[in-house]
Amino acid sequence: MNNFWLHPALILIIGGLVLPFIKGPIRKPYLLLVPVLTFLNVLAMNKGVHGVVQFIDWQLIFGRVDSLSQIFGYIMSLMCIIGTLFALNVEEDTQHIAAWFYVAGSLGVIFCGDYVVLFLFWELMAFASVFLVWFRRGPQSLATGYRYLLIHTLGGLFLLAGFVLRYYNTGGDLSFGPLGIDTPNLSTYLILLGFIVNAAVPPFHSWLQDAYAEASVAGAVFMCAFTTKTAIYVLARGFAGMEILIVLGAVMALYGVVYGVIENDGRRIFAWDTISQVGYMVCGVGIGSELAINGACAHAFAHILYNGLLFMGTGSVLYMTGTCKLTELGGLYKKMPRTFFFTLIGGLSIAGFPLFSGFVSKSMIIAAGLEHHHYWAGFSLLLASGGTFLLAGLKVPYYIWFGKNNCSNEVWEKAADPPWNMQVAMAIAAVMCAFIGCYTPYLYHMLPFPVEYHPYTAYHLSETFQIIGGTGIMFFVLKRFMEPTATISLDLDWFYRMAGRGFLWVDTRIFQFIDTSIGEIYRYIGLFPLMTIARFWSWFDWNAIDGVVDGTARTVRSLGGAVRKVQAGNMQYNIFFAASVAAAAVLVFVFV
Amino acid sequence: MISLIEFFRERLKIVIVACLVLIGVIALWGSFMIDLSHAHTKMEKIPFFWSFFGLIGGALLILVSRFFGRLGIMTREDYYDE
Repeated sequence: MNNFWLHPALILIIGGLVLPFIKGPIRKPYLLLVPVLTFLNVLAMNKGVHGVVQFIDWQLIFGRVDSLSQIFGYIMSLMCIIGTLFALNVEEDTQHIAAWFYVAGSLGVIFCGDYVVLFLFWELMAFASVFLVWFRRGPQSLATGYRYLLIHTLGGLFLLAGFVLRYYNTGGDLSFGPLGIDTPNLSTYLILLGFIVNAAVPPFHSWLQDAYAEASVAGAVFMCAFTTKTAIYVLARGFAGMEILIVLGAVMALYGVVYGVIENDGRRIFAWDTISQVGYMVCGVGIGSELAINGACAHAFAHILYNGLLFMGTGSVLYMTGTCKLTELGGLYKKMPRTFFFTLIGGLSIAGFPLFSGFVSKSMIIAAGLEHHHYWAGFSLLLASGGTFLLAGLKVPYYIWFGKNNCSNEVWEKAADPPWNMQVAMAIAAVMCAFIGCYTPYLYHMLPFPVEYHPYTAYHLSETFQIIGGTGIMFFVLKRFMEPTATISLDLDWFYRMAGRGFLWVDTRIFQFIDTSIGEIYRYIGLFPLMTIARFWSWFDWNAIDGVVDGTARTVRSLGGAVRKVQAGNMQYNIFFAASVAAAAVLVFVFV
Repeated sequence: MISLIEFFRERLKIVIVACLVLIGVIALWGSFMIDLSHAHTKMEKIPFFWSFFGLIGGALLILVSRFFGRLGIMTREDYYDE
């Protein structure tokens, strides 16, 4: 048996480190080669435990390959190819390196078997992905990146505290597997908190729309795929059946839609939609049945592709026109027809339109919820499904590609379909979305449990068409309430942004005032008397101490100085002075 | 692609009527002509249930979101720039 096992993350990391040395015409083929090799490596993996390393007293597992990790590894490495193809015209090596390290972090988490390795790659994901925000180099990028890092560091600390506590509670167990959700303790909740920060579960979700909307065009395509879905993987692995997740998932699904309706920025709308769609997956993990876990995995798979497609579409608009705000766009189907077509396919997929990927994936979660009598959750997800169609199927296509043309002359002149590589990447993702929707065995055969679910029943089709039709009618009836406005929407990040600003205000106004006051008081009360006393002692030292001790020397030196003046070097003067002194001495001796 | 879109845009009223007729036909088909044994709750068996769900749900989402936004959530773009 061949024991050689190469971690797919290692290919990306080494590939990234070598990239700066690859120049000229081989650079672009090399950029594609590295993620393709990673994908092939994932495909070639056999089930089992690989890459076991003894470190101090711990046995670290880098390669746990089973049906759950395989499907996530497959879609992550496939998305890495599509994302890199989309970013092929990005000249900065560092942006590609950051993206590959980020994917490496995700693959590392997916194939890990213990918490130490998990934490290592978890943090690699956070620290690599922040550069995808900073590389936008916009006026907000730096601050957004730091906020992103701050929240993920907090999540990482929850996770670290959780598994260290678990390590002590269990007497040294570091293995990562299903946690005792029936008897949860503090460590279970801390690990859960660490995971749900990355899954963007409210109230820890604000980093998502903040970072995705501010990331570079290519960076957002990577970011929308990896962090939240890796979190879904670890939740499915550790917390399947934890019922609190059903509530949180249903809240997420509707929360994202509500904010999406009032949002103006195209990429931010899809960021809100991401929160909504990840809500379905969180809900599926919470239900925990085989159908629900299959649904969560299938929806993660489908979501990575159509969400990537949507961010590629809106990213192309941003890349070509310089804006993604609905109030500054409109009527672009004439200038960007292919981008419109691809983004529409992404929109229909996310909305769960029959023959597209969302239809065959999210319905599994809803069916599982209703089967297990979580009716309110099931109906909430169905309502969110209608809302998603409102956003991705109607609002964004209508106001970017149709509707009133709000483009400035500059925007209109610049608008055109993006470079070939971006179009090919979108085309691949669009074909995948349609293929998954039309040929279900492709996806269903990869799922962790055997699938007995059939999405294309007459009842499911009629239910979906009626919801979509009803929502569509309401969009046009209530269109004036959907009209985008040049506003931003305040969210829970307001609290920590304001807390930061408050801290800065307290620091600059209060603490600085106190510091300055103390300085002034010290200057007048402390420093002035001190200097006066110092000056006195200096005077005393010079005139009293030195006067006694060194007085003789100073007198001699003064005398020497005076005498030196008469030593002009002229012999006749010297004789004159010497004779005068001698005469004066004789007179004193004779008369006194 | 552009000419196809413009073909439909020039016949917008026909497209709208066709869509409404299609939705109506699907609603009739879904309410009376298919097997409703897949329904999980009794209310799903009410005729046109999913059509009303879509209509009312869509209206609720739009109006509630807008109302929520008008509570002060929607604010000027330079709000955080101060």
